Amino acid sequence: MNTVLALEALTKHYPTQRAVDGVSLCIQKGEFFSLLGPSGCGKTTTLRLVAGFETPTSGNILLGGQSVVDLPPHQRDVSTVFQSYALFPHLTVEKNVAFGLERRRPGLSRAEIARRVKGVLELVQLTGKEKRLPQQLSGGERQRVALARSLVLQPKVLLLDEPLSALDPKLRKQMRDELKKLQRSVAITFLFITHDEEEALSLSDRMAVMNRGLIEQLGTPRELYSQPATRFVAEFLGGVNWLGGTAIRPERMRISAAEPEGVRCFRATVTGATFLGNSVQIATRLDNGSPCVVETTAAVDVFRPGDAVHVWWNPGDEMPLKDDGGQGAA
Amino acid sequence: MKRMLALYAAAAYAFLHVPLLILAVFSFNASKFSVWRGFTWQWYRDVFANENLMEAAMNSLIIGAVSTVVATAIGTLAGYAIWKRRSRLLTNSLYLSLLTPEIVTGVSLLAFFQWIFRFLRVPLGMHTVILAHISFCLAYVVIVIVARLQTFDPALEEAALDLGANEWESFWHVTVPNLAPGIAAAALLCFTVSFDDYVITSLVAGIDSETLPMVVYSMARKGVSPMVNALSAMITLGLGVFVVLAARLEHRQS
Amino acid sequence: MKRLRAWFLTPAYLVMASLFAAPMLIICAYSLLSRGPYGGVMRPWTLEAYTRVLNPLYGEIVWRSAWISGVATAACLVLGFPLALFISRATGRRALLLNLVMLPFWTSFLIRTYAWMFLLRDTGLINTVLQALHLIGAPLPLLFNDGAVILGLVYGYLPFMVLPLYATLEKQDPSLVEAAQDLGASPWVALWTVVVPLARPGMFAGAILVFIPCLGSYLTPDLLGGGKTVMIGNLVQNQFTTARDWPFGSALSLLVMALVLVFLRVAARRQETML
Repeated sequence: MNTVLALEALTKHYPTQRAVDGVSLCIQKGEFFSLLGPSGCGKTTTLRLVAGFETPTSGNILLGGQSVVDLPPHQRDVSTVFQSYALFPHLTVEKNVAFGLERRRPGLSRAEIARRVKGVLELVQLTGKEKRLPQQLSGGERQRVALARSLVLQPKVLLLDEPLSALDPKLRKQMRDELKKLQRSVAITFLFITHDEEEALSLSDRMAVMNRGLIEQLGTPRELYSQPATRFVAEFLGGVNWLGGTAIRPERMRISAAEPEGVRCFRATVTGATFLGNSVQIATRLDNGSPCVVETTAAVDVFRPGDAVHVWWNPGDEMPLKDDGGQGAA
Repeated sequence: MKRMLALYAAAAYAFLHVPLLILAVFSFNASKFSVWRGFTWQWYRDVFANENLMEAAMNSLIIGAVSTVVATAIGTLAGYAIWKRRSRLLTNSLYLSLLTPEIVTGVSLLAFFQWIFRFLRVPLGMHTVILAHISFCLAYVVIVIVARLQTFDPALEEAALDLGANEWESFWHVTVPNLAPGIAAAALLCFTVSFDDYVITSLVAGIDSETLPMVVYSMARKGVSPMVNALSAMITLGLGVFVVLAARLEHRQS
Repeated sequence: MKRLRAWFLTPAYLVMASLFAAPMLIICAYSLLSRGPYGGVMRPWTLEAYTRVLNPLYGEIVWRSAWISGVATAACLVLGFPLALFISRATGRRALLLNLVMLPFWTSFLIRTYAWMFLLRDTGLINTVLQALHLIGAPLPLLFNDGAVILGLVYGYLPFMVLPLYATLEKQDPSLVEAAQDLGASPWVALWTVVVPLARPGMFAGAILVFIPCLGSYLTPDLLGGGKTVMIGNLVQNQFTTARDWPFGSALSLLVMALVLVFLRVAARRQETML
């Protein structure tokens, strides 16, 4: 076990709300860890607490075993990639990237700084743009400068505050892959904040879902997706059908006109079908009135609105979640 | 660092305000010097008993009132027209008049009035002062009005026109009422600037149109007199009230 | 709408033409004439006024005015920056804090200058206090010198520096300072490497707004400088009153205007390149 960042009962209360309400987690060295949750859940506040821009009401933050709660931001060995990138507009790309290195005491030689800057710019594929100003770069390029600026310092943990949210969808997907590859190659621990479940699921080694200042569940993406601990986690990570008190993912549902043998099934009427490109979403209504969505790769033409169908699932495909009604832990 | 900044700010504010406060305090000092010798209203009584002073104060008020009314009217119309469609020439000349050193404005107006004197036999007097004040106050009024108009919704005028009002009616019945706090603020500012002017006024005033700043100046020149302290306290208070009012009006939503 | 607009602009045009442009033109003309016997001007037309302007004696006054104005501007910058920074970072009540800075400026300039006479003179408050504390024996000559003039100018025009500085600082992205700290810069270093460089446009605007009025100032050197500190403004005033040399005074006025316009042009160019 090689814990690089540990949060112990971390709490941040404001007069009007409890932004972070007792968060505990351990992040291992070299991990890509995500904090996922809706806006207002406390993930950004948690990040800022770790970076040092906020002081906790109570609790501890341990970096490499040492408490950093009393250290100001410029003395903590973490680096932040801001959502808006926060590139210095009056400095060129290379001066931006060199900024943190130039603050190092004892100082590095100019040659050494230049060498490291060059290296990291190659890593993020920005060679040739050293002399440009941030205003002259595209959104994706700016993001890479922000990354480079933090990476070159080789911090114990790299904090990323929704770094992909400002990019357009196609670029976002592309950057996602690059980010994963990057993390693997530099072997730096990433703490990644996002509200996009797809990002978290695809990028993380482990992740935590936050809601209203608390962690609802922590584990690997697979664990959280197929064995959600609470209804909130289940519904945040994907679609959920509730059939007779059991929760099943739409893509695990099966549908047919004829009644299947040997499995518990439900009668339903098709209310619509949506073609999504690589799959089809068939909306149905059960006989008891509740909705049920089935996602399948089979052809859409088979079912039309008004058709009477049967829906079922293979035993074992359901999620071990009981219908507790509410929106997760209070 | 935040604490250091706050401490410094306190010192800076003290630097800005304490000298005037000291003047006010010492206007009650029963001594001409800076040693405190007891509280007195003497100097205030002297001020009001001084006929010369009172006449000058009246002149300043009259000049201020007249030039304010005229400058505000002209400036409001001009500000509105500039907001509707920019007039580079006027805007630039207004800015230039603001940035021209007072001494240059003063001597140029003096030369101008003297030149007119040759043809029209009009001597220097209250009227020349008023004209001069209108000229240099205009820019202030326009700036305040244009700033206020930036937050005015042009759709209101369009609605008025759409409902059958002509351009003048739309201006008078819709724009002006909405602009009223801004106009009032501009007028207050105008009065303040006019009341306080020394440099220009001293050059273009005639023999019998002394203003309050002129009297204060000559008294100050002769040396410090506690009467000036009392005067200063009163003028500062009066103008201060005006300015606070103007600021309130400028930001009030109508 | 055009007709209404034109009519609305006419009074202002009239005022500007007759009470701003015309006087300026008169001054231009006067600068090319000869001095009259009782003041005023008369023919013949001559360039004599301008050749006098080039006299090194007056050059010294111009240079001194520029120097005093420069020092005052620098002082305003140094003193005004932290104040503007404080206001821009204050949580809430910024309008009030700003107004508190502007308020003294909108009351009487004459009185504010006089206040320093009261404080600095031999029997003034500062000397009285210092003597009472036995820190000095005889009163210090604080008044009637260049230093007093600079002090008076700084006191008078500090708000003109604070306002544009505040405007620039207020617009700065606060996450830039956080990023700098995150990268290892202490708050002090972050100030110098990020905040100050990005505040350059504001500093420049403030410098122009202070320097130009200082250059043409009259009251402050007159009251606080005694007869000793003669700046361009005093010289001009003198020509139109006691010295009765209107052509020379006019030429000087045009010189001041020319300087003002030059600085404005430089400022405009610099603003363009900075944006």
